[in-house]
Amino acid sequence: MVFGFAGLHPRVSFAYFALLLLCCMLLRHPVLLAATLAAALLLNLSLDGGRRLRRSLPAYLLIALLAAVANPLFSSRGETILFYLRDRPVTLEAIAYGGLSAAALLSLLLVFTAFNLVLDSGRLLRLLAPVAPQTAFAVTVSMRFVPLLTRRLGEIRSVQRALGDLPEGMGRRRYLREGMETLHALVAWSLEEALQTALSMRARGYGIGPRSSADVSRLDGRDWAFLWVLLLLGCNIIIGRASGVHAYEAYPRLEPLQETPLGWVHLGCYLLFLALPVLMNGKERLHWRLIRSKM
Amino acid sequence: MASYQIEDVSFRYAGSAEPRLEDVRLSIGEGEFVLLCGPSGSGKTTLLRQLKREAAPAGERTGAIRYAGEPLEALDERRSAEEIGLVFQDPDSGIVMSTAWQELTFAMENLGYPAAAIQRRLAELVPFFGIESWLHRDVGELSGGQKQLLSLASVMTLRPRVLLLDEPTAQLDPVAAREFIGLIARLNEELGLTVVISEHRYEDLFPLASRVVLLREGRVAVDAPPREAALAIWREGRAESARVLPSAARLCLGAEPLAPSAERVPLTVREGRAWLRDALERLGPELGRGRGGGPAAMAAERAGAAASAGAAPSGDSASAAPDEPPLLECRDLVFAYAKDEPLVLSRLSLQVRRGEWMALFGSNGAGKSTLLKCIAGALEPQRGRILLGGEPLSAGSSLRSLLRLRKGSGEPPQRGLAAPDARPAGRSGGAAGADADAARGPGSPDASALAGREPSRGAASLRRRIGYVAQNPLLYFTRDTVGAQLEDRLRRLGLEEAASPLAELEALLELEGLRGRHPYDISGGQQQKLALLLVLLGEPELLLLDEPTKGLDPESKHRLAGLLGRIRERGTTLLMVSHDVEFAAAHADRCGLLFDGRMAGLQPTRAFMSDNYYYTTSVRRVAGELLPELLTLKDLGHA
Repeated sequence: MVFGFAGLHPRVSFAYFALLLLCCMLLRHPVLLAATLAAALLLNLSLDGGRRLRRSLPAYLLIALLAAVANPLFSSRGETILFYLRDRPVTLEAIAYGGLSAAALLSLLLVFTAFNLVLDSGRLLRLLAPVAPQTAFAVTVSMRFVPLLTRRLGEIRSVQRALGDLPEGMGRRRYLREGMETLHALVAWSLEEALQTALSMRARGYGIGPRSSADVSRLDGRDWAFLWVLLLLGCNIIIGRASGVHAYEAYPRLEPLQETPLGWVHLGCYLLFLALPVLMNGKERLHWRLIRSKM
Repeated sequence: MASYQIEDVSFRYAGSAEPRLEDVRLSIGEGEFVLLCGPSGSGKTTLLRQLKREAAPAGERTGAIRYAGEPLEALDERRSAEEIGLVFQDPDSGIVMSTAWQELTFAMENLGYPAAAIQRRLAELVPFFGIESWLHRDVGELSGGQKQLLSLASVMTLRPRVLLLDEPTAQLDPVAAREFIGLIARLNEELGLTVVISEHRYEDLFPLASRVVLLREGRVAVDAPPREAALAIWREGRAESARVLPSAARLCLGAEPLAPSAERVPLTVREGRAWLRDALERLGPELGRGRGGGPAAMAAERAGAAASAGAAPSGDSASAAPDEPPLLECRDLVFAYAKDEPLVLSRLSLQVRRGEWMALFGSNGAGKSTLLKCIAGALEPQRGRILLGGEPLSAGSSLRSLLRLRKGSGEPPQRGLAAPDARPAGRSGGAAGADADAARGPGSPDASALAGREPSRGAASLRRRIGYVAQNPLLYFTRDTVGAQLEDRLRRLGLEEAASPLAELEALLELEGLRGRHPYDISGGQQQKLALLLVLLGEPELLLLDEPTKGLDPESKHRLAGLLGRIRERGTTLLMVSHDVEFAAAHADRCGLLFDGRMAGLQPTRAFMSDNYYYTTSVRRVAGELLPELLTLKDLGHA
C-alpha cells in the first residue's frame, strides 16, 4: 500500500516505529501490553491483510509460548503458591510475569514484521543515504549482485548437469567437490565481469568528485503534522512512564489494576498513539470506498 | 568542426610485441554516424576505446587523438565524462545499480548534479526512451533489450556530444537489436549526436551510417560513405571483406561488378528490389554471369532445379531416409519454471533425424533455450518423454522420480536417487555403456564410486550421447589453463588422452598450442571453440547448440559453419536454436519455428524460407517473386 501510513516519509515512519519498539520494551502494564499486542496485529492486517505475518506467526507463537512457560518453571518468586512441581513451588506471580514477557516479546516481533512491510530495503537505504552515503551506495551496488550471481550460478549448474558432471545420486563428497568447481567458474566469471563494471563506472564519471543524491523527497505538510502529534504523544508517554504512571510489578504479589486520573490521560495518549497508523489507513480505505460508491 | 582527429595512431597492448593499431588516420566530423567494421581482432574495439580516455586499455600509444581540437589527454575529467558517452557490449556487466531509476541517476550523481536538475533531466529522458513502465523495477527483472536501453539512457543523462558504442547489440535478439539501432539512428538524426559504432549487424547499419570504416589488421583499409565503401570493398576482391556488405549490395555487385556507379549500389531490401527489377529487364538471362563468368548462373540454375525437384535440403550430405527411426524424439513436452508461471513448453513434439542439421527459430521467450536444456538433461520437463534412438531419457514424469526420491531419502543418497534411471539400463546401455565401462579404467578416481551404482549407468551413458553447447563459453571453464581443463574433462569421461579424439579435434578446431594459456586469456572465438571441444570430447551423437552465431562477425560465422559441417561429417547430428536466419538458410537441412510453447512448422530449409515472410533471408526478400529460386548468396556461387 502506498497511501495512508505507508505513504509517510521514511524518516517519519522510522520515528514512529522507533517509539513503538521502545514502548514494547518499556511497558509492562497488562492493559497497555494487551493494547500494544492488539494494535500490532491490527497494523499488520491493515498493511497487507496479514499475508506476511501468516508465514511467520506459528514460529512467533512458539517463541512466545516458550517464554511464557519457561518463567514459572525456573522462577519461584512470588507469594501466591499454586502447586508444587517436583518440590518446586509454582507461583501465580511467576506465571503472570511469564505471560507478560511473552506478550511483550510477541508484540515486538509483530511490530518488526510491520516495520519490514513499511520500510522495505529501498526505503531503508533512502533513510541511510544522508547519514552514510558511501555505505548506502555500497549496499545498493551489492544488492544488484545477489540476483545476478544467483542467475549465473544457475547457468553454470545447468551446463555442468548437461556435461554429466552432476549425475543424479552422486555421493555427498562428490557433490561438495563439484560445488567447488561451480564456485570456481562463478568467481572467475564474475571477476571478469567486474572489470567491465568498473570500466563502466569510470566511463560515467565515478570518482571525479563528491556524489550528489537524486532523492528529492522531503517532508510534506502531512509528515510534519504527524511528527508534531508523535512528539506530543511520545513526550506524554515517556514522561508519564518515567514518573511512574502505569508502572507495574508482578512480584512479590500481583498489583491490582487501578487507574488514577493521571493514568487515564496516559492510557488515552498511548491508545491514540497505537491507533494512529490504523486510523490513517482506515481513512484512506474509506476515502476510496466513498469514491467508488459515487461512481 | 571535427569531433575527433586521429593522427597516425599506433597502439600495442602492454606485454604484447605486435601492434594492434598501425598508423590509423581518421577524422570524424560532428554529427557523423561512423560504422567501424572488420573481422574480430582487426582492432575495432581497440580503436573505439582509444576514443575515450577512461576506457583506453593499458599499452603504448603513439600519435595523437584530438577531441574537438584538444588532445584527448588534456581534456578535463568532467568534460570527458559528460561529453563522450560509451556503451558496452554486455549490459549485465555495464549496469551498476539495482533498479532502473538508480541506474539512470548514477552518472548524474557522480558528477554532483543537484537533485532538481536530475529530476528535470529524468523527466525529459524517460519518456524519450519509453522507460516509464519499468522505471522502478529491479534490473534483474528486465529483458536484455531493456537492459541495453537502460545503459544507453544512463549515458544519455549526461547529454554527451559523442556516443561510442562497442558492439551494443551483440547480446540482443534481432527484434531488440533493430529497436536499439533505430534509437541510435534517431539520436543521431534528431539530436545531431556524433555516433561511432562497432557492430556486426551490417544489413541494418550500412544504410544508416554516414561513413563506413573498414579496419584490417589494425589499419584503415576503407574509409568512405557507405555506397562508395561498398564498391571499394567489393573491388578489393577479398571474399572475407565482402561478407560485411549487405546482401542487396552483394547481389548487385556480384551480378554486374563493373557497371554501377557508387550512387546506384543498393543497400536496403527496397533498393535491392528496384535494382533487381531493372537489371532483369536490362540484362535478362545474362544476369549473374559477371564475376566468375558462369558459375553463379549455373548455381542459380542448379538451385532452381533442386527447388523444382521437390525442395531437397541444401546440405550435400543427404539426411537419413524418412523411414529410419529418428535419433531424437520429443513427445508432448510440458515445462514451466514455477507453479504459477506460464508454460514455456506446452505439449511440444519434435523429431530429429540421424545425421541432419536442424535449426529452430522463435522469438525471445518462445522456449528455445528451455527446450535444449530439457533435451540436454539440465532441466526436467514436467510431462512428456524424450527418446534418444528409441530409448527414453527421462522417467517420463518428473513427479514419479520426485516421489521415488522422497521414498529413498532414508537410504544413502546414491541408491535412492539412482532408482528412477534404472529402467533403461537393460536395453539402451548396449554398446555405449560397455565402451564407457571399458574406458573407465581402475585409474579413474570415480571408478569405485561408480561401481556401487550399477543401475544409473544406462541413463547416464544415454545422456552422454547428447552434447550441449551453451551460449556463453565461460560457463565451461573451471581450471586455470586450457590444458588442465582438457585433462579434467578427459578424466571425467574416463578416457586416456591417446585413446581419445583430443588430438584430432584440436587440429580440427585449430586449438593447438593453447594448452598453457588461461581460458580467459584466449580470444572469444577460441573460447567458443574450446567449449565446443570440451563437449565434443564425449563424442556425442547429437550436438545441441544454443545460438552459436550470437555476436560473431560474418567471417567467424563462415568459419564456424565449415567447422560444424566437418563435425557433422564425423557422424554428429546437429540441433541448433538461433536467431540467425541467414546462417540457418545457408547451412541447415530443416528449420522449424517455435511459438507459444510448441512447434509451428517444421520443413526443409528451402521450403520453410520460401513460405515465410519475416523469418527469411534478406536475399529472398530482395529477390522475392522476381527470382523465386534464390534464397542465399550461395545460390549465386558466392562464398
